Amino acid sequence: MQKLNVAVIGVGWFGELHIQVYSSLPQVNLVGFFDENLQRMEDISNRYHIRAFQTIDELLESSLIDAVSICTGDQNHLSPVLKACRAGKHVLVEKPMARTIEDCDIMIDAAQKAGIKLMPGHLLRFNNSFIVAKDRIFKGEIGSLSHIYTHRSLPKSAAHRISDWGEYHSILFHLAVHDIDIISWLADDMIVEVYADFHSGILESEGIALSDAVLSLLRFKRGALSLMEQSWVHPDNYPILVEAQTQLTGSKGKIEIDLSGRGGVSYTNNAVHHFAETYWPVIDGQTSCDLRNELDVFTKCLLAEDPLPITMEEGRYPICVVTAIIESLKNQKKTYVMS
Amino acid sequence: MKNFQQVNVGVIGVGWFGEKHAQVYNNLSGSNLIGVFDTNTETKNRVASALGVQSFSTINDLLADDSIDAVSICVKDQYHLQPVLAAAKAGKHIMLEKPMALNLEECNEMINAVKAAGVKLMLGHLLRFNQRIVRASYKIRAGEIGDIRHIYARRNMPTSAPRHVGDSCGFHSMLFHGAVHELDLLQWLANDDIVEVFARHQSGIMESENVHVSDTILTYLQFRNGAAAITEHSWIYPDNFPAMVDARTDITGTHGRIELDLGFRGGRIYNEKGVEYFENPHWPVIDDWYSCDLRDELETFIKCVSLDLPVPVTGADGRRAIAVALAIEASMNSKKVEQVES
Repeated sequence: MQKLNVAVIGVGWFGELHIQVYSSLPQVNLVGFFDENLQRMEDISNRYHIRAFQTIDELLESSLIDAVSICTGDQNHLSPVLKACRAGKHVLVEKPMARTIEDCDIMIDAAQKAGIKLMPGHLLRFNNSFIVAKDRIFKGEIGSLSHIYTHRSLPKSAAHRISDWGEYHSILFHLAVHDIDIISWLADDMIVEVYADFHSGILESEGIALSDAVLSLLRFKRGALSLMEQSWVHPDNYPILVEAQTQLTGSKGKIEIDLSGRGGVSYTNNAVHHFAETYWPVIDGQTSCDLRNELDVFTKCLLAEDPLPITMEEGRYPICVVTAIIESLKNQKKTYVMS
Repeated sequence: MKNFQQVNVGVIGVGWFGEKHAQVYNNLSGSNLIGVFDTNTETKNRVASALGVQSFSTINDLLADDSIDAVSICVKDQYHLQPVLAAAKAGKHIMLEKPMALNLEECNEMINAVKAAGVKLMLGHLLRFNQRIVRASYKIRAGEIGDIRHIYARRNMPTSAPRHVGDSCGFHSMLFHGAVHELDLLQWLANDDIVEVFARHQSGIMESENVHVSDTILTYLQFRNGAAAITEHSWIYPDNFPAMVDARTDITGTHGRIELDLGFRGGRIYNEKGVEYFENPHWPVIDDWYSCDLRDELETFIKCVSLDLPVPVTGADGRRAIAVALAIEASMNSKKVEQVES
């Protein structure tokens, strides 16, 4: 049976989920991993019984590896991606692809020169509700698009966890990239102009230099509008971990996708917990549904030498929109998106 | 996965659900779909052709194929016994769709046959692989809601369902076709056996449409250790109901409560056709293949075969659900409280 040899670079919270999925995919040999944090390396090595490479170069020099997942912090994607390209390894890079358009261009160039395949980890593309919605829109079931509302919010603990990443509007890279990618994919259109404003003060009062909420008004090339909302100041006992909704209204109908809650809620010890998201549920130690789909498709496409379902350009495009939003936040003006 | 060897599979019965088994096996990296069989030649050939696999002339031809390690058996509910016995005799591991059988004698015969043949038998109680249910089970086992006091569960459908299923499992087809999901699920969640039942049914609506089945079955189920459950199974929802199934399971414990919407409507579309809840709760599709529950169930079966692990849903589990179904049927006939045969 043909198997793909894979390694993971960066095993924070999300890198560990990649390890869980790869460990259970029949067509994958999970060869090993690397992380800068030695204690984390030891912990992961003990729990998953896989090889901890001492340096990223040692990992990439290994001829045993065909592809890598890069799950380092958002601001640390460029260097490992470039090294992986030069070592001839295929790459799945977690979103956001990079934090500047320039870095995206450098990655794309390196991947093309090395002849390797590079896929951005846009997880929502592997969620059934969005996939069916895309099909229905494509078939004309809501007619031509008028406007979209999309919302993604987290509790304060999420902001606390990444408080040292040096970008005041980190929320845009952490959350908005998902919405920008998915609504553009659903609309089959590109955002050309943005206007945005933000609120700050709540996180700052807790010693964190990040904005609390960004609200954006986006205009697509063919005329549809989108209201986009991201925030991460929900109280920590807010019952839903990721509150997310997307609604699309067209000339002939409307589609609503509600990924909050997801049909399971528990009331215990004065806590309410909506626990059934499908992004990366862990069942009997094995990660299922959306993240599993993403890595399953990534590895199968590489084995079959099929094109990957998300292109490098699709990884770059949300960064162009986020860059325009940040500019609009600074200048308080409508801003065009650089392409 | 280290040590993982691909498993060769055949599917016996490729009607509506058997075809899904075949599609999943054909797509999983861990399995290699060799071929299919169905008593309906047209169906069999259509499925075989669509998937590019062999169309076997008889069940015996399929079972005689030495390359096949395991089979899914998805024939009609009332015909499970013979293919299971034949597959066991042929030394094939078996994934058997629910309900196991319509009586305990056949359940016993199947359990004995697979034991004698030394092959694995896994029951297709799909809800055991639904992530919101499994995660609820973790909370229950961790003691988050204390001891279970009572459960409410329903699984209701529009009239298109009984029209499709008919009286294949007798007048109370819904019991074996639909309610058996809850009969397995509740005993698994409560980690306890149902020992006593009281049930009543309503009929008339489907009969007036010439489908000779009951409309609604309502039960009171008593667990050995004191918990109780009320279940509702009705398949007379109007055909323009926005979803294929309306199901939920609500569990009240001494220290908390869990509410599960199992027909969860995460995706909704409104247009001139009406309202439709399009999210598939149990076999969502990614491109043209399946994700989540059904895929996880069959991949688990494949892994158990490849790595020689015990299957998580056994013949004994399948039999336990049927024992309760039969007690419910007896109670509906006698209009009295009935004991579950153990």
